[in-house]
Amino acid sequence: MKFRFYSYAITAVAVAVSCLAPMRVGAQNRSNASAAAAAIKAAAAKPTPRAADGHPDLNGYWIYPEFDKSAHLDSAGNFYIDVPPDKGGTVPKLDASLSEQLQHQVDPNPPPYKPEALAKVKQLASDGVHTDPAFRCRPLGVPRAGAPRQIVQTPKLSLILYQIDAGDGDQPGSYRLVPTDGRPHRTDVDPSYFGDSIGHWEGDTLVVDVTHFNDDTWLAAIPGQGGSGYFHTDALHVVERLTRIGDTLRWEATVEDPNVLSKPWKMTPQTEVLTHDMIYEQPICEERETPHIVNQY
Amino acid sequence: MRHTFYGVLLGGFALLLTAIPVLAHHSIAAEFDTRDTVTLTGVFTKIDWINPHIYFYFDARDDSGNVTKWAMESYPTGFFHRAGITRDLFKIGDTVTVVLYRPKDGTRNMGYLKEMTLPSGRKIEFDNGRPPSR
Repeated sequence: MKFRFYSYAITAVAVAVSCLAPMRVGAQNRSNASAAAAAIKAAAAKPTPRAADGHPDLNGYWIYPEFDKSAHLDSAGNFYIDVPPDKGGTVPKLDASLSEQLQHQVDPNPPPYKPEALAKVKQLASDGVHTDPAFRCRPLGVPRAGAPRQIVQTPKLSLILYQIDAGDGDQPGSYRLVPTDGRPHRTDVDPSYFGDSIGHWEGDTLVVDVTHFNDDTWLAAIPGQGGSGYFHTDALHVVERLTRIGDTLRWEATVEDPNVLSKPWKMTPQTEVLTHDMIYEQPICEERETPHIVNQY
Repeated sequence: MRHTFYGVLLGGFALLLTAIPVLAHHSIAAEFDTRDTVTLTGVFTKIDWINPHIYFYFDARDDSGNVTKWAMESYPTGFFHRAGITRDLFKIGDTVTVVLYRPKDGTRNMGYLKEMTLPSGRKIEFDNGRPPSR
């Protein structure tokens, strides 16, 4: 075995660098947050266009205003791609205190689970590699998929398209049809990841009522980390509210599951901004790593 | 050609905005030892452009000409997409040099992509906190 390979002992350098990492990450998040807030403010100040039927025009490709540059080219054309710590970025991951921090990050707005359901949430969260449906490439479903990525709106039917673009559960062709013609929920189909949606307008807000879910999704991830353990049952009922203000789209969702939640959970609203991009077909998601997973972090 | 690449990269920057901070697959450290790297030169034999991890397969050749088959796990396609890199940049038969993290479970001839040098000499590096240029 005379491969041209060398193992480096980079531990000392890595540890030295990682001491600086938490400070850098924190500063970066703050500047991104203020840039995002400024972008939302500018987009919201624009006029709100309306469709021919008088309702706000929700058509378009909507995205979160993040400004962290994940890649750059140097003068020789080389790519440098940064990996955020919650995606397994290497430098902060070598820093025990930051790892610790990420593992125990507190969700500022957790679902109000009944006491008897909390033990299961904790158990699932402690072994997300094996328990998180998204890790097994299951569709994220509603409400974990969050705000729409693209909307195609017609007077009696709207189409909501998703593009997660980050890997997990990111199957090509995730979409929902939302009739707004007054029809009731259908019950002649199987329970599903994205459920059965019907919509109606309340003033300038499109309200989407979603039922008929399977129980193979989690409600959300804790911001900045993957495994939340936020399971639900097939009694899940989600009401989303979509409001266009200028060139921004605000997504709110209220989640009910009387089997495991003690009261409705109002999720943290998300605001996206309009761009000229379009959905493209994603590569498939096919999990192959689980047999090689050694530990959680 | 370079203009094309910069154009693509600028497009990539625009698409950075598509990132959604709701997901994280397992960390690299759950599967690989980020302090144990191996550098190899080999020829691509198969590329699976899939999520949540792209897989590259290549035949590594040592100084004596012996060939060993390797599998290389990498980031989700979205990471490459947002950097302006598409599947088209990689061709079966290309000779590349890669730096890989070794798996913690002892699996041989497998690793996680840290760096890749393409036949053109251009490099792709994944890491945190890299300087913008150097």
